[in-house]
Amino acid sequence: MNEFNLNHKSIEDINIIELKGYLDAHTAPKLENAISNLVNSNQYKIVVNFSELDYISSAGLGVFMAFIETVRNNGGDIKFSAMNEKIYKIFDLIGFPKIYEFYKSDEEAIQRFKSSEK
Amino acid sequence: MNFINQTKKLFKDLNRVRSKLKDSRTKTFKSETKNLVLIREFVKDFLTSKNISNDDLEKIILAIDEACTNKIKHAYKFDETKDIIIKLKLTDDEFIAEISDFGLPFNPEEITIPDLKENYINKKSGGYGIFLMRQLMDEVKYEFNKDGENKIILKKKLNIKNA
Repeated sequence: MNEFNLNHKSIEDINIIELKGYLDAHTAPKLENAISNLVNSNQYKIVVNFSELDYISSAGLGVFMAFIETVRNNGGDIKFSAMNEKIYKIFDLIGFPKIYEFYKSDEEAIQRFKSSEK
Repeated sequence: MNFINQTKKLFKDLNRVRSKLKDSRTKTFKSETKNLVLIREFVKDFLTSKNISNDDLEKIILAIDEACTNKIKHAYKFDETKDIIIKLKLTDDEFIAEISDFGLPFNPEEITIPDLKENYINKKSGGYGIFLMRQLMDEVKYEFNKDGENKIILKKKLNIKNA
């Protein structure tokens, strides 16, 4: 399994966080910091790309729960993109599809942000 | 005669598969989150040659990660000097993991099923580990021994791939 890596880029006012490797109780604080930094600088439109994430445990899932309400209360959202079947199954077990939006690609998620502004 | 020979062969094959399966391994890890990756590797190494399905393998790895994460966070409160002992066992068709700590005992009666709506409002990020373990495994049991050992026992019936 690969070590965890996180890459951040932005397209206009939308922030894309790309996850790579494994997200467990050891690496989850890195993601927590990244989202926390965005929220603290009033950046509330977040897309998390999972295409290169190999593994997630509940410590990783919990990070999204910690921020989602604040983000939505400020007119933003955390949207998920490019998640493989294996990772999606874990999100599904916890019931995340009821709360979060999942998209096939960053572009689709970005489009959704843009169309909700109109 | 042919039938007898076929039956004998079947039993031989079955025993061959079974002998491949029966095994056990124990290892002690320090109570550090950075060891979670090593714990997952340990479980994967133990199970990889055992003809179990990938789906089962992934579920078991995640359940054991969750059990160990809980011990690091709650039983040992991130004290990295403490030990977590992991015993993995395979019987004919069942996987059993016994994971022990000697930290703060945990009260299984306090466990509640996570309520996503409530957690959403309370910005609660934890509490999913035990729920996940129960979803992933067939049985999750706790034992608290007099010598201070807190043990969680995880069991799962396995889908054996054809040898």
